[in-house]
Amino acid sequence: MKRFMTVILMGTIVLASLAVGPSVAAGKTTITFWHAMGAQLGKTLEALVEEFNRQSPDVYVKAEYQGNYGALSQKIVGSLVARKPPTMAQVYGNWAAEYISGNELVPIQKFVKGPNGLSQLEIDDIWDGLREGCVFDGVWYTMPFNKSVYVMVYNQTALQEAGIDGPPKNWQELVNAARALTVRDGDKIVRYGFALRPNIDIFACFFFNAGGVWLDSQGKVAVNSPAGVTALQFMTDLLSKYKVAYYVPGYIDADFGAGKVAMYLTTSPGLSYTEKSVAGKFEWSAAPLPYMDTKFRSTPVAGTDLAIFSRASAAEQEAAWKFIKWLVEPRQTARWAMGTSYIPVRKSAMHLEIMRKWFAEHPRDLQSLQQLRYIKYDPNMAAWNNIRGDVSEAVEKVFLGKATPKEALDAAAAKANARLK
Amino acid sequence: MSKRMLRTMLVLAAAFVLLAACACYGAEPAPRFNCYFGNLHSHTSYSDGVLTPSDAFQHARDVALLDFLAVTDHGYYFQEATNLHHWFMSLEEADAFYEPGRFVSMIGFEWTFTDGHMNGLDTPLAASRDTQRNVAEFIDFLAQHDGIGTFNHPNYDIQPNWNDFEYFGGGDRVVYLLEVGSGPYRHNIRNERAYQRALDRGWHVGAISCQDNHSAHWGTAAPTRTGALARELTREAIYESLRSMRTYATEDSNVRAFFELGECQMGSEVVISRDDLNSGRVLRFSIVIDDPDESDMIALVQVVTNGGVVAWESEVDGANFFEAEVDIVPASSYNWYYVRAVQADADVIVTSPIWVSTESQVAVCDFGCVDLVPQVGKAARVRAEIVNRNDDAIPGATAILYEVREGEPVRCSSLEVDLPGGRGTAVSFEWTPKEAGETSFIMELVISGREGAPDIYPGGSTRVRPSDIKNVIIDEGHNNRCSGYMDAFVRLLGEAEYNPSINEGSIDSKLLEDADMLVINVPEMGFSLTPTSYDDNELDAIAAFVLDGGSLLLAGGSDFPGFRDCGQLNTVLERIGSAIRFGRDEIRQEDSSVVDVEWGTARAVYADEACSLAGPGWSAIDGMEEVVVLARAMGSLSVDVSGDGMHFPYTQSPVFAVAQTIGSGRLVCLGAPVYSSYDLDRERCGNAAFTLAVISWLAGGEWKEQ
Repeated sequence: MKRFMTVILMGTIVLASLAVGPSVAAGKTTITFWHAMGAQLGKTLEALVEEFNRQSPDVYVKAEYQGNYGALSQKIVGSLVARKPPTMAQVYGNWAAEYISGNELVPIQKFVKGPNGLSQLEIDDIWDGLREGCVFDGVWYTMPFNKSVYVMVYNQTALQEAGIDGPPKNWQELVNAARALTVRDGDKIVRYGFALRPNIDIFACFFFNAGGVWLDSQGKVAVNSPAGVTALQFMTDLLSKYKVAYYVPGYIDADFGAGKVAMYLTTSPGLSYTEKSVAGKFEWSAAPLPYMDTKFRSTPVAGTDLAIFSRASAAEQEAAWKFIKWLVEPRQTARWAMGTSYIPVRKSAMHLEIMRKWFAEHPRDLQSLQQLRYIKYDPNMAAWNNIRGDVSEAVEKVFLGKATPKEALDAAAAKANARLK
Repeated sequence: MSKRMLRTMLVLAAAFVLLAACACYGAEPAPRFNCYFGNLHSHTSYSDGVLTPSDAFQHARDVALLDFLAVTDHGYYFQEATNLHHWFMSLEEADAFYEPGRFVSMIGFEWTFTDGHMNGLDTPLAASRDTQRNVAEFIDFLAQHDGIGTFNHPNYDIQPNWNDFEYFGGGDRVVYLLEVGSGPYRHNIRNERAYQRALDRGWHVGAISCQDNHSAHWGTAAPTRTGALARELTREAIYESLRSMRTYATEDSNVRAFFELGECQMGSEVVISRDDLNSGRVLRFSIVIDDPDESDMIALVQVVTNGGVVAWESEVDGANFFEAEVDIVPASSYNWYYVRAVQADADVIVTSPIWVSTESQVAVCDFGCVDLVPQVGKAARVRAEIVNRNDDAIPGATAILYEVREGEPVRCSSLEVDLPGGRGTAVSFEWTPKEAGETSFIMELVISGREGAPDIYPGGSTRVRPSDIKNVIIDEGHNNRCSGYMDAFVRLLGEAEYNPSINEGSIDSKLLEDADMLVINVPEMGFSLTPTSYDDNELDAIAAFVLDGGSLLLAGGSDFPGFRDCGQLNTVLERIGSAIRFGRDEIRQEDSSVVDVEWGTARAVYADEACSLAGPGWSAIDGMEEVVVLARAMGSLSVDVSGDGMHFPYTQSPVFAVAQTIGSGRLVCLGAPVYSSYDLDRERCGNAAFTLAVISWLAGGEWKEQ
């Protein structure tokens, strides 16, 4: 059986590659695009690439899936060492910072301001927060692409049963709702009101909403600021003091679908997993992140941007720009958003008829967009990847009761700032 | 062959073992299996590792010199259309490297899920978290393909471990192995506690040690190995060894380990009759630990049984070969035993267990008194989980609780319980201790329709306290500082012959009726599910309690405008007529809010965000009548955080702790609750000793200057 299936499949691959071959039109500039979009995301991307290739008279994009982000990063680094990078790739801000320090990227600014560039109106049409996240030392280097924000998912049926009008807007309402939604059977808790994950991303959802900023005015990592301590204290209080939450390192959608938890935080594309897990067992929806104070309302933005590598020839760079420009046009970014639950990077995309219709049918996706005015992003620095680990470690330590929030964050800040030296 | 079939066969084999015990047990242990060394958990770039399975196999075979390697990339990678071929390429690459007698290459997959990650081996397809979306679906997948499941890196710090290894029969049929050693990916860890927990809760799982390689060091990341006892080095024989759980986890790369009960190897379940169990039948196990490296000495060999108890041990002096026959009398109707050997270089070897159980196939775990401080004459709770490892339900069983004092079992209570098949059932007994002292428990389980002796299960022990020990109420009903972080304080008090309890509601005279001591940490504002202040009635009840001879411990905190101030504690002090006042300041040592509090020559107390204590009108407390200064923050300063001028005239060493006798009541004020779980868990700090000294004085004792 094992061998039989192997033979069949290998045959399929040969046929597939034969099918791809002839569509590379002669005379077109071929560019390679490395990405990490698998499953449904990959399908949506492939469809867009295919459409671009069909309609472009002079550019052919070879989109190559490299595995997850870890694999993509490894492969880009390997290709840079071998001096054979792709023409363009998806990159996180901190990866880009590292590549920029080695002069490996061409600033997108060069093309934006070029003859086939973007008008000021078009530039302003890109969500400010997303665009600002692509600027390194005042130079616009990358184009926002697959961006998501965090939202709070909640079990609407459970909320109604508990007599709660709507999803909690602030932290006090979150504590109250989580307590009301926590169900006990004797000494056992059979449903928690809320669930956390011990990592920097979930911490950021509280940190920003307590008024925290990653870097202070001197450019030092300020994760141990009063806002940081307050945020982490609040998170651990949800676990230990209010006893309304639990934490797991893995994904929470399955527990949510199984009714083990009534509210949790996830990214906008994570909602498709929520949908699968709930599978119609109850009503659910998404809401903006609860804040400590209205003035601190915010959401971390996650996801990658598109970068063009400087080793590509001038013609390839120009071809890559044509593809990128096309990809973030309102119609394409709308299709991308609808197929993936990422956010459309252009404001005007929201007003397209297809998007209006989509939001009418998918009100949950609209929740992410309500937060676009409040997005905050990670610092664009090469050391940030390791600093992320330092902060996640601090959160984990506190959840395990091995350190107080202040102790853990002081240690994380010391470690992080040593990395900046 | 499924585990259930294997067990059935062993029931028959075991009958022979026990009947022919003399002949069998006296025999020289002659290894009939070879030891092969390998790694059952590794990754390549087909998921989030590097290079290809071919590279992994080559490295494992030629560099690490492993006998077998399983490449187990994450299943969800294979689910993607663009990647599906990697699964089949893996199988082909494994086939290319498979060389019977020299190297066994295997392909499995890792199924990552919130409850814990699991590997599947010997299946034609890979499961994924995207398609098998919960443990039950994954188990169904393994059962459908007759695969081998493993519990991966079962570390309580990184995953919930399948609801703490809650037993379910369907899972037990297909999960064969547990990573007693795992890493070095992220954590290089020993998971023996999780292994014992799984065995206690009824799982049949053997011990393996895996490397979870994500870099190009398959087998060379560490000398840790899974040892497999097999007759030959073929895929079939290795898979058979894994399914039979004839495996051990070793941190030494080539030590050989054998653990047998008669003809039965590690991984076997041996059935003992209830009559033999009740008559104290002796079982003779044989152990061989043999390291081919002459310099690798064995230091300690143990047999570990239920609850992690060491049933037997032997220290070894200067030998790389150890052999012993060990006599053990099983204590329970469900026993597991494994060998744990430690080498002089601290490498640990853990074998798969041998289970010895009655045909009832019922395990009992978590059996004991759940009350921290059981007291004479007061109803306490004794609980147990009864795990029916059979497919079929056992209706109408009778569980009888005995308490055992000085070796004498006395029947206490009984209950009827239906035990559904393939799962655990929680039971709770009524128990009111009659005498103080060490008490343990035994449960008898009588299954209706079965003749002969009942099944027996020993439980944990507890110390029954007299009825007149001091009751300490810790208030958490007013958003008090450190609410939710008082567990260690509660444990400390419980172990020191006090009866602590947490109050989550309001305070009134009824609550305080039986209390001897009340602990109030300063209430804080901010997010709260409770009131953040004491109302007049509560303040009156607290004052009356002290004036009536009750003891009061008040702990404050540094001034934190809008979040915390000690005004409420000062109101309490006013009501009870004390002139002591909590300051609106912060004690700081070299700009840090963490200060050393000294109380004589004993180890200093760690305090954070503390305030100082003084007399009325911000006067110095020294010299106040009937007030004794217990501790000071030496070398620290009182700092006026909010700039309201309300801080103390100390230039150095602010007062941190004072005691006062008020009528027949006693009062202690501390600048901070130095007994939170964080504080008491800090090593090298005197917080626990100081806390107990304070509590002891409040309980009527003398203050002992340290």
